[in-house]
Amino acid sequence: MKKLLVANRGEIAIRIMKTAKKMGIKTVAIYSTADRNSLHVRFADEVVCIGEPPSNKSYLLGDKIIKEAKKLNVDAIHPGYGFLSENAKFAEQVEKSGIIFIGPKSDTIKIMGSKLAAKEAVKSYNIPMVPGIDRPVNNAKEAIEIAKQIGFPVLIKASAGGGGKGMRIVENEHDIEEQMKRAISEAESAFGDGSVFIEKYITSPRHIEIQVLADSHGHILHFFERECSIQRRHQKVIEEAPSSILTEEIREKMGNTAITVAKACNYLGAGTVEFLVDSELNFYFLEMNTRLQVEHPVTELITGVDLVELQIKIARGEKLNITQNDLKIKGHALELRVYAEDSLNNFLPSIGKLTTYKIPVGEGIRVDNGFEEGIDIPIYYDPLLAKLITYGKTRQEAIQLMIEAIDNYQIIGASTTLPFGKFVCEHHAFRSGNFNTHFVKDYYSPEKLQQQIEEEAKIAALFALNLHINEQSILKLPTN
Amino acid sequence: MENNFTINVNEDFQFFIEKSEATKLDVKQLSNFIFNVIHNNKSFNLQTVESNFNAREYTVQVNKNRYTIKIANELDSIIKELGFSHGHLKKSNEIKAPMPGIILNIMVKENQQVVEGEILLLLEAMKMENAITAHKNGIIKKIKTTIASTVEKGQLLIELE
Amino acid sequence: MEAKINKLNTKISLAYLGGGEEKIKKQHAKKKLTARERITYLLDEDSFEEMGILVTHRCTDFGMEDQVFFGDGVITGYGTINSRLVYVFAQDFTVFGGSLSETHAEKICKIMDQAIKVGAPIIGLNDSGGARIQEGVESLGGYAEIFFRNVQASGVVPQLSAIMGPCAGGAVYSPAITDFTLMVEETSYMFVTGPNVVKTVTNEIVTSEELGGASAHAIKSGITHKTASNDIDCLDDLKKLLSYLPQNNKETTKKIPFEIKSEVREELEYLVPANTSKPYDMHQVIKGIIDEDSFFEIHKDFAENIIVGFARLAGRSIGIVANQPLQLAGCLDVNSSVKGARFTRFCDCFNIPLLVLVDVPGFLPGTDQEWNGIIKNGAKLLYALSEATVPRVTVITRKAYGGAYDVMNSKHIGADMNFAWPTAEIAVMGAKGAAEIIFKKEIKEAENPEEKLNEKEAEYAFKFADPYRAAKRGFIDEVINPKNTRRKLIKTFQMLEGKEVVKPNRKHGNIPL
Repeated sequence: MKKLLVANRGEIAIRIMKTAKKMGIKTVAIYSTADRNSLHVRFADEVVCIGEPPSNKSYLLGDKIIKEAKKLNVDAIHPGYGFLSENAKFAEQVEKSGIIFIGPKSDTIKIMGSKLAAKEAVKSYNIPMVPGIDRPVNNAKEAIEIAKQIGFPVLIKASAGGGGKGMRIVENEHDIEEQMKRAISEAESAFGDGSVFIEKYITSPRHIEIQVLADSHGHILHFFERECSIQRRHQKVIEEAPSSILTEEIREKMGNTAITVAKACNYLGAGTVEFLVDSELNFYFLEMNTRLQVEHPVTELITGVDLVELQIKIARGEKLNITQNDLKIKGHALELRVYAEDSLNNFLPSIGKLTTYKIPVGEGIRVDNGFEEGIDIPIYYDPLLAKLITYGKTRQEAIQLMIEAIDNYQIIGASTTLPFGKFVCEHHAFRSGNFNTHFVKDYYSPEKLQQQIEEEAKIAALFALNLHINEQSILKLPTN
Repeated sequence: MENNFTINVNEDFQFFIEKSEATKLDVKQLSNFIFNVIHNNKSFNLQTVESNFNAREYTVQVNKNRYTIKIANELDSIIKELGFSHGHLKKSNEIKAPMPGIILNIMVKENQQVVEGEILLLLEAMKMENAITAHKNGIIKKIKTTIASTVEKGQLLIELE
Repeated sequence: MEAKINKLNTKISLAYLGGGEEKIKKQHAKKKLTARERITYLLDEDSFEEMGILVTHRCTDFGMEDQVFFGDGVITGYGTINSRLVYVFAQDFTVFGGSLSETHAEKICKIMDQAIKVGAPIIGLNDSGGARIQEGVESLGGYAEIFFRNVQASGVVPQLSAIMGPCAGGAVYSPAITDFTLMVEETSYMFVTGPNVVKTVTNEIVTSEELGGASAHAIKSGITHKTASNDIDCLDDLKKLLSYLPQNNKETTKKIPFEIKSEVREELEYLVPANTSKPYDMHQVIKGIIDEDSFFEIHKDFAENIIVGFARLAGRSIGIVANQPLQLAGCLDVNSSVKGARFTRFCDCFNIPLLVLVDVPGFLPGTDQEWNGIIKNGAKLLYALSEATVPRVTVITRKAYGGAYDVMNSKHIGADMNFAWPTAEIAVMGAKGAAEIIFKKEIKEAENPEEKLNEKEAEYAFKFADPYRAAKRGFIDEVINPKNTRRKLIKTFQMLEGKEVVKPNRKHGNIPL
């Protein structure tokens, strides 16, 4: 493998290219016209403009990307996460074109890409699952009937989905029609497939996932868990590894289950098996993500491996030369997704020009970053600016380091999830480890964050008034 | 001279501050724009970013966070009490974009009657659909945008009547 | 010493109270700010220096000797707006209803005299019940002293009036002579004779608001140049208006720093509809030419077939006179001619370059127009433009027909640079009318006269309905792509900056009034 094209943008494109460079592989970046100024464009050895700003006119144009890759004699394509990463058709076309697709085979993606097909595939392996129906629904009336059978609350999910898009919790019958419509419409625009399915909604669940890696020689390893329960709008914001609640025994059980799931679908490369864990530590198989996860760095920090490097090696047909016994958890890692959104205003996207942008540096701090000072945040894509990751010997240490790093992260021009991150890190529920996916609902309100900054605001007000009164005393003359 | 000021910070906070409280503040100027303030036994590092004496508007940085401060005097309070505002348009009749994005769909037509909470249009930003709803009952007077157009934050989308 | 200082402070605090707390409350209840609050809002913070704060009236009749207020109903002095020196008077309705006494008038005259000597704008905030009746002729004399100074100051320093309460009787003539009159909706009115007198004399029943409110004068009479929804809106307008004006007739307005880029405005290219009878909004053309959000329109609701106003062009303050095809097809009539002429003369007084945008089918025909003197009124615009020595640039966007072509800043009456868009039609009249006259006989005798007319119309249009005959003669300096208009104008006005015209020595011209 001599040349790798990363079919993605932002921090993940840079993250992947870094490893490629380390391995002596040339890199190719793609970009849309909105990203002409983005950092990943300057990071690559070669670049190619792939189209207009909307992702369906650029980053989602599989055929065009393959064509450009061919022109530039690319050997392999890494899809990153999002965009085409879990698009079976794209994977298939890449395979057909003679380029290596860094990821599982297209058949696997197809199975795991449909939550219903995935359930079907693992059925015979005795994998614990959340009660629900195993066929897609796309009309509201039917949905109401099914929901009644399962019992409220229920969860509506896009069958092709991921990342919280098209996902809705419905507490009662009254809301289901409107929520179905929204979910279907969102699923249609995001994935081109409007079918959704409905399952029982587990209250107070924790979201814990297992990283697996399978080579083409039949070896499958798991790299322990990631705890991803701190979410807003059903999307993860803070992840950590290891989870503070898993016992060694459950960890091993979940790891083995994940390996079984991977086996069931003939897995190849890096994948993530997601579980819901209830308050009694029962775990249910949720789905398998057939890509590199956003939050993969926490696993890398506690296991000391470079997951992208292993992905590339597997794609080259190499054998994993580690065994499960070699893998040990060392220390604790925490990741905060730095989104350009307003923590004080319902996490609505907040975009603008990053007039000041300085990332924190220091031992135990890793920032997977896609932005720099002076860049306008494009409105067309996920508002993820960077991932702030800290590593410590203990969970406590990692959390403290995170707070310090947040304080040293300077962003002016857009609101971000940094203040929210600090709020979480300072919250006793998070620090004690006793929390679930409802953390935001249960503990967070903009007012609480407001209180924290009110003191500073008061100082600012006093200071400004002091300046103003001083200036009043100065004699002012007309200048004409 | 006036002794009481109403001070708005970032449009999020409002403080009523007496002149004496501000003049007593322990401020030490370190360089042109850098100051240190001690208040309630705590030390703060401040930096002036922008100042507009006539508009009574200041932007300062406290630690690493930026605050925009608007100082209102007694005349401002009188103006507010009299209900004076700039321009003729009453703001309450305007539906503005809460964030930048792309208009996915417009659910209403001009002259249509709408009730509070009714979905007027869908705005997509960062791949999330946001339903923009009517904040009061009324009639759609004018639709100022079209499907698939890109809008800026605060842009007027719909005028109600 | 302390006692003496205390005495001073007591007097000043009394003066600050005006007519007293009760009256101030009443003023607020009427949705009006007090004179002092208005000055505070208008001027830069802490910039006001009051002159004659301790003046009192001299009247001893009707018990007036017992009612004495410091300042005597008007606050006068100087201060700054955006650091520029201005003189201000604000009538204080809380003191004798803002009525004008001899001393009240003296205070105003004092700052006017000084403003003329110093060369700084005069701003009057009017809120007065009229003459101080207890004084009689002294008060009338006071008015005349002010009128006289208004005329002396005219064309020397900008004079701006804001009517923020009543302004009736003789008092109206001071704002009438000043350069711009702004009014506040619902709280202000202006008339020579009030509703009561109107009723006695003509039996008409009319309210103050109908007779002389802001909208009556904005739409019907054109007495007010701009209306505002409330006091602060009005004061903001004054500040904005002032920003386009220089300090006096010897200076030019300071340019705002402006970073020049390519200055191509693509949106102008497709603005004029292909069909010549289709209207379009000249405001869009203006918007496409000037700096973003810089248009300050004057007389927005009066004679809407012509648009006048101030704007910035690459930071330079300019005056714009433009036909508006959306109203009466943009033709010239009595009101629009006078509106355009008065604005043109103001710009010429104060060295503000003029941009004239032309799309004019001619003068409005009819007995109403002829009997109201379209001849002499149209002549005012012709006179004003011909006389103006500031840089004058014309852009013909579409029609420029007949005598109206000559009037609208044509090359022949001294314009410095005349541009035309490719859509321009410069001719004696529209193609159809021309064909009807030239080929009258031929059309009459044709088998199908309508067909013949169309044929001849097309023939005429092909020959004359474009800017190229005029360009051939040099009446048009350049035919330009509309999208380059802003580019060309920025450069042209820069080129014309040094323009100087020596005028023949005369007392003054005789504009047809």
